[in-house]
Amino acid sequence: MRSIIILALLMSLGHLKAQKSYSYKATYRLEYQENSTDTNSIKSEIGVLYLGNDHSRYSSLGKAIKDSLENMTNPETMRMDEYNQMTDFKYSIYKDYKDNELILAEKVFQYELKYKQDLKQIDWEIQPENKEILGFSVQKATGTFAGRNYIAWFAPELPFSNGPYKFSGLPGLILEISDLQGHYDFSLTGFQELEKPVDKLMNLDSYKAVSQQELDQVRDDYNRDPIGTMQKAGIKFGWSEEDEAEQKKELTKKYKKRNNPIELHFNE
Amino acid sequence: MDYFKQIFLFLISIFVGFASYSQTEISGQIFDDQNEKLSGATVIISKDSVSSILAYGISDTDGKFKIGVKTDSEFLFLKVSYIGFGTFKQTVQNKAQTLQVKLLPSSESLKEVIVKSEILQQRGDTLSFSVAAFKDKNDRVIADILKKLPGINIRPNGQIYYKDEPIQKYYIEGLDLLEGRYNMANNNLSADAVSRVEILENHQPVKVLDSLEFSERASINIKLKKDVTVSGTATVGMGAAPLLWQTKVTPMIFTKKRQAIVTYQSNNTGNDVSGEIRNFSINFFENDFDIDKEDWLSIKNVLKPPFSSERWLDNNVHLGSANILQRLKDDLDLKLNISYLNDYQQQDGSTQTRYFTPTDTIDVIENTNNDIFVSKLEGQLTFEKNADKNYLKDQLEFKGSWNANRGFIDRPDGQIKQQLDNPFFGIKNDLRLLRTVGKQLITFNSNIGFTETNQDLLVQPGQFEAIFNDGDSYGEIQQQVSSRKIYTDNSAGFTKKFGQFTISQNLDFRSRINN
Repeated sequence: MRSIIILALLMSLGHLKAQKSYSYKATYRLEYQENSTDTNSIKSEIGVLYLGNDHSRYSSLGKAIKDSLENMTNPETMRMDEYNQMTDFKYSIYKDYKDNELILAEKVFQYELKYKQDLKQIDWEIQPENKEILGFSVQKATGTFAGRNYIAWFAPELPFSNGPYKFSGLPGLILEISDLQGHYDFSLTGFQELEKPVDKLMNLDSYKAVSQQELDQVRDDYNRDPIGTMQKAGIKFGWSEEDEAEQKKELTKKYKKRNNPIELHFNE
Repeated sequence: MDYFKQIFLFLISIFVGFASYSQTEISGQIFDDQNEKLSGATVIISKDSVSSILAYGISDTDGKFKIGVKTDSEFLFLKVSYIGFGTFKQTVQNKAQTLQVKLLPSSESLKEVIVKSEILQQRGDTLSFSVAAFKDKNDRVIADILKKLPGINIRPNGQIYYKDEPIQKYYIEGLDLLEGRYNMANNNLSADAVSRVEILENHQPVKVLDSLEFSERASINIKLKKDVTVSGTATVGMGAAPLLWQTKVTPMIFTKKRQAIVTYQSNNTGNDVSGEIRNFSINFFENDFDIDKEDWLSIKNVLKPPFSSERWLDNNVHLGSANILQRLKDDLDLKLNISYLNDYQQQDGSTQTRYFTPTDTIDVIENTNNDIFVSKLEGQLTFEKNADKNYLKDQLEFKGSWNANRGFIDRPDGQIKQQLDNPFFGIKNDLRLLRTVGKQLITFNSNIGFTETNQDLLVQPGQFEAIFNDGDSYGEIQQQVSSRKIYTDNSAGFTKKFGQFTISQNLDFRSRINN
């Protein structure tokens, strides 16, 4: 009798664990064109998609590293400029199939913000073409999302209706996805089972729920004038007005070059 | 013939007409073995187990799915997958129906893949790149070309990496004029004077060791267009209010037997020219057996801003350097490298630390002003014989520096003055001898060196009163560190080759006196 109880306990434990953790990791290389008019402005980053049974978490590798540093028992802080150099994408996207929604959470300077969306963002059309990517046979699908037309290649043998960024909804993991202009191009570079399931990394309770428009606005304001945002928050800079003007000019120049976000307009 | 074509087209149109079937709706609900609803499961419908996808669905929050299928097929093949569960496969009739699907746990693993980053594949060979193919009108010096070559990466400090490994030697026309200080040539040799850049993979610079010791590292050889090249760069710039200047004159000459690079650089525009004489030589010996300067004492530094030094460094630097190489005989080189650097830097920093306590916000503001005086003389005399049967390299090197720092910290609760004198002198001789005797290789290394430093830090008023003065404040505290080091490291060894194997034996004698 006792052994049965223990067994039952073990089983329920196993069940709990399976629900709250990620057991697979897909790694993507993202190539993106920062400036829509300059084909030389192509940059590259790594994105990681952690996959659980009915939930997932996507972020850039830089963001994932920062989170894991902060989640250690002795948290290590990262300087803001180091972090800025590591990634251009500072959000995490949590997809939840139980609630049928996705949450994008982002810390813009000191403001922790999040918004919710329906999981289903794209009406996919499956196309007859097949090919092979890294030994997986994949099928083509096309769809429109936020002002861009995409071609996706998904692998039915990987039963995750998931993919990088907000992409999901195909009967198999998306291994490659690119818009027709080639401004955003994700391709899989690795798919692994995690030796130890990774627990959910972040608690989003402290994040303020806003609309997508609001979050995009806050991010845009910060990118356009980070100094102003910091000054509003009470940080003083010990520099002359000329220096400040020059720094601002530099940042504005940089901001103007970043004119090509992945979402060109909102899906209503 | 036309007649047949018409019939054929007619038949096709009939089939097309028949192909527009009405839609069949297949719906259902998916559970696991515990009768829990599974959301996010993928449902794929195809004609049979091998054909491509006709329609698909993803189970919703309640585990339900609904799929419309348009096909003429009599049967449909249904596949339901969910991670951690075995795939459910069933052939069903092509008609509207509702299915209950129960999935059973499975421990079957998914296939894993990892892409390795691409590596240039070419071994044991010389890669030769034509400069003309890589050059455009913005490229002035050879470093601009090197940056573009595949596999080559130049770090911000100027160190050259090939396939993520630092390069071993930087030759110009096969001669190693600058040893590790190749920045000086790399940043000043005009790209127009160079015809080709050669990358020597797995390069063994010591000829005697060529077949005995495998080398992982690559070297670079710069091939010039002419046998006698006189090149170099000269820039002079001035700016007013406040007075700014920037001068850089770097004449150089290369012939088959003699090479020389001389440079004089001076600026107060924040360009840290000391990088030009940084030595990237690969050190064979441990750090203890070297004459690198060690700073035991320092004043409080200001944090370096994370952007280019030209924006913040307030300097006043003069750098002079002369490098001469003479080929005495075949395989026999004599080299002299001398450089002198004088710099005066002013640093102003301020930190504001804000503490949030439950009741109050406390600001601590601290201003730091530092004056840094650097004066550094370095010289190296090298004699190298690199023949097929024997190798000899003797290098005499001295380093001297007369550095002084002045620091001033201004806090709300007081001011602190610091004064640091930091002179250093070091001299060493490194000898390396290799010789083949029959099939054996005899090696002999001897390194002798001496360093001396007397560092003296004066702080006013005295700090850490609780430790040094029973808690009472006091006028000043002085800290002195004198260090003298004499070391000698001698080793002899021999290496023998047995077929595919090499066996090495070593006898080492080393001693070090520190005080």
